[in-house]
Amino acid sequence: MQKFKQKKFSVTHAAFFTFLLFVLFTPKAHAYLDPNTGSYLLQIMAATIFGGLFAVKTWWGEIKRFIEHTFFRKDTKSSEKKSSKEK
Amino acid sequence: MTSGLYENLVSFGYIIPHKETSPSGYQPTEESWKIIQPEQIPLISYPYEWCFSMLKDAALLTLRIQKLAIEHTMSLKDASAFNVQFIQGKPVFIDTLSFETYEEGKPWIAYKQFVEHFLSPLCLMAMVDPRLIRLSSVFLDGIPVEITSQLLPLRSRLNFSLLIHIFAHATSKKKYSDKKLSTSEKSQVFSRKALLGLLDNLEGTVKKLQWSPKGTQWADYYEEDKNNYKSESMHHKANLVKEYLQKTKPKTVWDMGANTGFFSKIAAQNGASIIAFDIDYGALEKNYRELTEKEEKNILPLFLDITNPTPSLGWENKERLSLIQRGNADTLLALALIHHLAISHNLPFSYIASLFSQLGQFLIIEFVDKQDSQVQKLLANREDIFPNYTQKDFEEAFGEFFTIHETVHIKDSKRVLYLMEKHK
Repeated sequence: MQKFKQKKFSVTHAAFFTFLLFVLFTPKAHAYLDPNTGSYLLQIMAATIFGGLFAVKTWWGEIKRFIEHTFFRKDTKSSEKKSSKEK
Repeated sequence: MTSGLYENLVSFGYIIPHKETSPSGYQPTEESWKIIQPEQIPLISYPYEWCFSMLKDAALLTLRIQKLAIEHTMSLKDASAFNVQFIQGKPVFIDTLSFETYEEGKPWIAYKQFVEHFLSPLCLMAMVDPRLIRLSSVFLDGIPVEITSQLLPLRSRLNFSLLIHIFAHATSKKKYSDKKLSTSEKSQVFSRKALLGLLDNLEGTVKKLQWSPKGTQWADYYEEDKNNYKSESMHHKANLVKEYLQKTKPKTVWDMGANTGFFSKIAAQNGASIIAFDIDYGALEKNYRELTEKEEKNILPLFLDITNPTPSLGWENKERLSLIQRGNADTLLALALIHHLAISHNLPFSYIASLFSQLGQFLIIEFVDKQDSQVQKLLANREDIFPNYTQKDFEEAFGEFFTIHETVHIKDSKRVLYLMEKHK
């Protein structure tokens, strides 16, 4: 009887810990798909290039917005007023 | 679920909604956490049945989802084209379990899959031939970039993004084909901005790929009036189709050889859900674009070669189902089709009747007489070896499988429209 109880206890524990493992730890990214060595390295290169270009694009957008905001603010406001009047 | 991503995706209509459930008679295992029941999709379609813009829209949806996921510190762990389905005219992501926690510094695990499932066939379709999407049925894991790089024209190398994603990618795959990643390579930092830059570039590259359906055999069928339809006969035929549909009251209609969907739209007016099958990519493309523009939700254009319907594919031939395995229709439309099957493909009427009896309950079918100009065109360059191509033989062969309810001559034409019902 004692042995049986011990066994039941360990099974419950095992189930509990398996559950914890699933809930607490996301599986390593590599476990699901094989990223392929060549594709992995190419992606790093591609992301370096396109990430850089993306950063330039974002900065350029910010600079453009800053210039528009600083130098053309009045014009924008007056044109907004004009269009709202038209409505 | 706690990230808020699911709610966001559902609110945009990007992902199929689900509910949590506890089915009776199901004993949860130690590994199960929750059981979810997604909304049912009327008919599963596969990427090798889509036209150019459908694949393009599915690709853009996948990228939008990945970008949204990153915002919620999540990431798509696969980017399979099979995870997208067309529901009510729009692409929807169906694999709710395809997400994992995003770890900053790690590259996108599904990058290769995205390129080979989406970018690779899209390039081939846009720059070589739209029919090359059929390669996706051979390469179920995506068309390898090594193959795409050999098939694409030289000018495609001038596109810097394609030079990287396809050509350099192919070279890199070949170079490292039998090599493992070293620890230093694995630990290379891959910033969030770099990932966003990569996704932004992929999105821009996909958006710039264009294919116009001009010049395909069927895309200009109705417009050019090269066919045998004078307005009087077309009007009469449309009214008859409407009348037959009202009699059969179908929930699902398969329009076999739908072309750009003229009759599919008539069927949709009756509230039925239509699959507009065609073999011509130009016609499919035109149909899809028009449906998207008009936000028509009840029609799904899909590729079908009736002489070679989509087979079952993949593991044990059970992974991707054949067309026949995916169900059938309440009513089949087979308009201006019989002569192509019987004469161009030498198929006896009984074979055609047998196939149609497996696909639907009711059949609205048009018999095109041998004297019709379209049939004459098919016979122009070949010997007429079809003494049995007559209305009598047609009725006898179809009578084996179907009960003929209606037979009406279409005004001002050499065609007859039938309404038939499968024998019980």
